[in-house]
Amino acid sequence: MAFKADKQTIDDLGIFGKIRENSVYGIFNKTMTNGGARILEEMFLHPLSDESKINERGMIIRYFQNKMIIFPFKSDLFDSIEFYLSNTDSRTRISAHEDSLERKFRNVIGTDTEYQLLHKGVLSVIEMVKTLNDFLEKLRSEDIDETYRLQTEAAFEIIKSEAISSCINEKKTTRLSFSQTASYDQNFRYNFREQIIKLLTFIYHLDVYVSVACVSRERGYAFAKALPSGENVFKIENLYHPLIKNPIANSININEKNNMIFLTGANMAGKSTFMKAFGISAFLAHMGFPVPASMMEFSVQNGLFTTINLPDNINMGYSHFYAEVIRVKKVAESIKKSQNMIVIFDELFRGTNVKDAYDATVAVTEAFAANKKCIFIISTHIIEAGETLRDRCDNIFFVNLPTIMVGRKPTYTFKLAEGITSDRHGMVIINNEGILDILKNVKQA
Amino acid sequence: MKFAIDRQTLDDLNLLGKYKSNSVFNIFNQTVTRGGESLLEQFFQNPLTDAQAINTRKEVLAFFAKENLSFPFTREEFKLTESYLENSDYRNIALSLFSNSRRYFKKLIANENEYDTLLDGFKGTVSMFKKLKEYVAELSLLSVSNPYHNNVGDALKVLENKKLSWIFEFDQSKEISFRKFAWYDHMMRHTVLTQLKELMVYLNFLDLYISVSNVGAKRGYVYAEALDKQELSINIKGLYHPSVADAVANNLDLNYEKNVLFLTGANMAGKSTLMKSFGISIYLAHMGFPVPAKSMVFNVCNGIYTSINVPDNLNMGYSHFYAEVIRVKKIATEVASGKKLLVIFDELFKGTNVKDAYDATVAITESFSKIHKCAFIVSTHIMEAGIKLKENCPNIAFKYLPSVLKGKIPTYTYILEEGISNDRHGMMIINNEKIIETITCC
Repeated sequence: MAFKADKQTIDDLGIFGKIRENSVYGIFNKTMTNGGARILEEMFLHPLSDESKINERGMIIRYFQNKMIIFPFKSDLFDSIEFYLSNTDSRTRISAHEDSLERKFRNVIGTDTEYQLLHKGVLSVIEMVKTLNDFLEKLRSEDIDETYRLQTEAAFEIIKSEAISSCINEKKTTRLSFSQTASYDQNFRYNFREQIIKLLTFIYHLDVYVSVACVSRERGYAFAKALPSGENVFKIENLYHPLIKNPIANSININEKNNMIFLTGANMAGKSTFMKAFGISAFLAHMGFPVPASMMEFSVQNGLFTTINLPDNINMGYSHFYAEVIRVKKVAESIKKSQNMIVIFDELFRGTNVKDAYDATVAVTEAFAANKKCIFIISTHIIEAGETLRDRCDNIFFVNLPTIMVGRKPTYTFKLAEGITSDRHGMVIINNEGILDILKNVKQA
Repeated sequence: MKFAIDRQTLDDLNLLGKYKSNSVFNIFNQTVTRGGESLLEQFFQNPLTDAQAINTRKEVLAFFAKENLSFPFTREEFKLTESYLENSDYRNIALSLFSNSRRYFKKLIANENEYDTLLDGFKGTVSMFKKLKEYVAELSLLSVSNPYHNNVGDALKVLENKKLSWIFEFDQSKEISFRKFAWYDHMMRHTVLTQLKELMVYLNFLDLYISVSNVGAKRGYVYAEALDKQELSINIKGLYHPSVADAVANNLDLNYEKNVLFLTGANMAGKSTLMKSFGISIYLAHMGFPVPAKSMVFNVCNGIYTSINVPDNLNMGYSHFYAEVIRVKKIATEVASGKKLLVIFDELFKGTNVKDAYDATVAITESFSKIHKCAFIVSTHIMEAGIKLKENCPNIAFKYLPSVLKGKIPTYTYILEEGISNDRHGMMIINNEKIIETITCC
């Protein structure tokens, strides 16, 4: 089963982002080849929900990171191979019988560009196979990661197969005879095309592993350990948002007894940032990728739903409230279908009056809290809703992001604290400005 | 004293702005002349603070509305005369003669039409002023009992000036010789230029009055009556927003005893629209202009301040709240200076958490309500604040804009009702959608 994350979630977390560079995908997209970038995108589009697969990928990337493995190919090699292989028109096949005088003549005066291109393609494939062979030999001579060894095995088998192994012994030449070219071409593009493509895919994956490991090493990310689903553990230490400068790290420990986080705090205190950081890490962890944290352990979930940036146009009034209601309904239906989910709601029901917002928040939160299989993070400004929920539910963990007044200016620690915040800096600011005093001293005419 | 208003208020009410669609200025800007338009701009920038001046202007406009007059010239006619008179840098007759002969010469040898253009301008000007004289004479008879009679009298005096009499005797249908034309041209653009320019200004005003009164008449606006009492009192019946189609009308009454209107209602219920129409009408009334209402009596104020569209970007968080606080402080300082002001607060402190918003709204509204000289309209969807205020402040009038649930869709009447809104449709929608059931069954 695939890990579910809908468009709203992908947008909320900035996984792909409007500007690719400034997105989570952009952080990891340091691949050398286009094929690698393609594979990376695939991985982002389809996170995993299988514990062993997640850990497998994690192990491989960790192995790459520890070994500091460098991508052994020149990236332009693959442009010519892709181009060469994409030409499957059988009429372009070089056949040895065509080695006529005419062809030789054309070749001498250099007009046979079609042949030149094919010749170059064949040479590129040979170089690829040779480099890969050297690379794998070297890896296998050292202590290779067990999971990755299985993958190399398959690649190795292809290289050692009769049709392809002959390239390895090909001396580093810039020129092959016509008959040689013809026979390689026949193998590469037709007889053993599938094997060549498999090798390519293997290399593209290699590219992704190298680039992700490199990013992880540079940024000091940690590898998340996936636990079997069901136990509902989500433990993360020193989590931060990967796209923010000088982020402040927070730790959180979620388990079956505390599977709902209730977050309060002033507007700028960093609630959304924390929720996004949490969402991004959950997402990356389910891809088997390193996460911006120092330690992470989690039971595998089946999906992630966030509601952070629902267009908050106050002028839309009730229709905005209605949009929120529909969103909640959609999430509830998804939970019903796939059970274990991570659900993040930022500031639910802000498009209505206090009483309704309070009632709705309490009702919806309480109903969700009865579900112990999912993980919920809910933020709100309505502190009273928190007080009520504290009495009614025992599996809610109350945290807040505090505000500290320095003189007249509110400052923020961005550090999670336990409990519900009762920050009332609004009145402090009003009193600081002396507005009420200005009015008190007015003489009545 | 100048009527006090600031940028934020002008923007909130969308008052000025020739290039903004829907601005109140554009509603009234049906002027034919450029001068009329810039006069209208001046009027808009300088509302009056003197009841007598307001009533005078109101009567003038009402006169035009009653007589249903139209501006006697087309845009082209007026422009022709205007540009003809504007090219008037002749110091003396010799120079004028010289440049005209040069033009004439050019026409003869090179077939250039500069001379003809000038001739056309001259003839057009002559016929315009001829027509104007008749028009003004008629206007003079019509306006006998109106303050506008004085303005007409002034214009008539100029028109009857002996220096100008040759214009009205001039026969444009006849061929005119070059020599004669040079002479007339000089007369027109030099000798009597001051008088003519005076008349042009008179025409600009006429254009303005006619255009404004026509807009008022066409839209069925009324002229507000300005009072000059010490005490605050504003009474509007059938008030609506000028740029909302099929706007619903409401009555508003603010006075010394009830100087605060506390408005509640759901987001789409029309709170902002009502507050804006109130602000716009007050502003127009202070210009002596017709207002979108059935009737209006008001005591002259010294200014108006609103806080309606303070940019409501929630992501800005505290800085938005702070911006609102600063705005309130500015208004408080103005109120404390002893002016008679009108203050409109829409959804105060919506950028912060409910507790703060509640506390702040109660504290601020209570303090403001003590100032009986000024009128306040405060809106909020924190109904709870209204209930608290009801205990302590007898001088607050509580009204709300209701919403009615039709099936699952809330609809709005846009008609003010007494009391504090009690609409709780949020939970109803949640129940309709069976949200809680959906959540719990899994």
